[in-house]
Amino acid sequence: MTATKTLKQRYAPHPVELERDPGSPDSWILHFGPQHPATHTTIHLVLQLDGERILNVTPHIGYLHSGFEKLSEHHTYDQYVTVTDRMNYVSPMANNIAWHGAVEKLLGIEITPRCRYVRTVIAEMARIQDHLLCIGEAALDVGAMTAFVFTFNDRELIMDLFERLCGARYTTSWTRIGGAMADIPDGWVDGVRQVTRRLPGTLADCRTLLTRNRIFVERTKNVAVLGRDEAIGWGWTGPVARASGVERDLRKDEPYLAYGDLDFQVPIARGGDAYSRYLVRMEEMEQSLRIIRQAVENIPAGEINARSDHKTLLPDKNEVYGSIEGLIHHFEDVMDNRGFATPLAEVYAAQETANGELGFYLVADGTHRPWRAKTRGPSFAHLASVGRLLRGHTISEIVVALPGLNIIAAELDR
Amino acid sequence: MDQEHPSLTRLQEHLGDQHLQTRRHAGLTTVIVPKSILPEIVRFLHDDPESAYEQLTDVVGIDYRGYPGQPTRFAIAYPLLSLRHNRRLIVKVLLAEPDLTVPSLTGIYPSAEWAEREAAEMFGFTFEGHPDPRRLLLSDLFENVFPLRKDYPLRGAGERISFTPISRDSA
Repeated sequence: MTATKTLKQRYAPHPVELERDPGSPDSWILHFGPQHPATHTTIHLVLQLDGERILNVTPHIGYLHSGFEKLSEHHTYDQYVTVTDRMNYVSPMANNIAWHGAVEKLLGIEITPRCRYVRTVIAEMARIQDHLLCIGEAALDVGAMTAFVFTFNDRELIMDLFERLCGARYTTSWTRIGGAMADIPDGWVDGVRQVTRRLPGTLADCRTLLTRNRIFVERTKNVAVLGRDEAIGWGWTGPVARASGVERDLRKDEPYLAYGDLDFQVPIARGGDAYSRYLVRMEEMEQSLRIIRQAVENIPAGEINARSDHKTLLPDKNEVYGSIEGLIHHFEDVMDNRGFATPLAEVYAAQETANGELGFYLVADGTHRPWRAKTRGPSFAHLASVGRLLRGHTISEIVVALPGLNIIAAELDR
Repeated sequence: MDQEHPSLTRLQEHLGDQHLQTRRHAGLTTVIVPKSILPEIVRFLHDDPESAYEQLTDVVGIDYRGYPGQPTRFAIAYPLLSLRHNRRLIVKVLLAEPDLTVPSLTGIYPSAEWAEREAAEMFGFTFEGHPDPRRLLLSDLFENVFPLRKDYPLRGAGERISFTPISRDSA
């Protein structure tokens, strides 16, 4: 009976051969988390230590498990977007776009050119937003408060733009099947231009503060190193993998949205340590700015929502309020006992979000609800290797390694 | 057999006359594999330089209870990724009760370790040869109940009704 297990038994470290006799006075066990400022959310690491050196790490996750995948089976494809906001809450817009990208791939819906460009701009802003937070926190955890204030200041500008777009800062839920809840408002593009003008200054400030800062460099270099082949084996993706020399970016390798038309580069580092991860993220923000600058000037005119005769897509709001057919169409789509038809098919679709490959494995059963929507969160693969990463390091290097991976527990625990 | 996907041609050459069922949707190929030869096939797809599926993206458990036209109740899908050739292939194993054991892929892909632990606790699969078959996301109260199965209700008291408070002395 597990219910009668004592706490000590429940959180006993997974048995491994210790390098030192466990009876020796220097050998001890430390519980890092679940509540610790450096875990940012709730991750519990049971550390077997020899003095300050880590012999073995047993991670316990699941403190934020909220059953997203169970919920998905009881929501329609449009409703579930509200849950995707809460996965990686640092860049919710990117999740929205990845979710509906997967649904559109499943249903074979082509989005309009305008929607492709607007989604690209927004996905890149979400990436910048995520990287700003990641770098700010990574700096904060090693004691560099100023960089954190700088990055958060500019994050706020992006947040304001999201708020103008959909009325919410975090719970954006902006996308819909074949488009978005609303087109971009008047003057929004000017706001984006302002951000692209201001951000390079902030990034330069952060560089001045961190890149050659002796304390920062010495604390991050050669910490939590993972080589290229191991990174691939552990399922690493995104900036973390690229910092280990993995040349992979879904925006280039499987071009989606408008990335095929735009000119940008993918930064790669070979160090594989926390410092390389910082450098890759900094350069990725520069490249994102480059993408935004190109995309925002070339947003095609026309409708943001795709229109089609089959009743999968929501109708135009003017039609809903102006005609009986439109109203019926709208009700047919949103009513629980109606809905639309989907193929009996399965699809895996992934997009390059700030943390890495965010994929959805969708199983459709012919109704307007997913039969199964498995989330492949990048943090999950990254944290799985934490035992391998931290072995041999000291306790103080955990706070360098974890923010470098940018673990988001909500996405990790689902 | 679907001959469009280059890895399938290679796989067929490797297997000889054994026939594998395939499906194709939205540009993705799924190959359905008997579980007895799953490690062998995945090992081949991983090692063969023409296939080179170096990364296991995920382990997806699926419960098909009540799904139209499915021969078995359970399935596990393994989306594989080849970085060298920029290709994806989904390998799928069909499972029927009562035998829900599958060979573990942890020996080929380290990333299978957590993904298999999650699939095991959510659906009740047993991954043979897994080095650390503990629960991952769920609390210990979820004993012999599998939340992502279709017969597990969305609403209800959940497993907290069987929670026994522990005193400070016994902790």
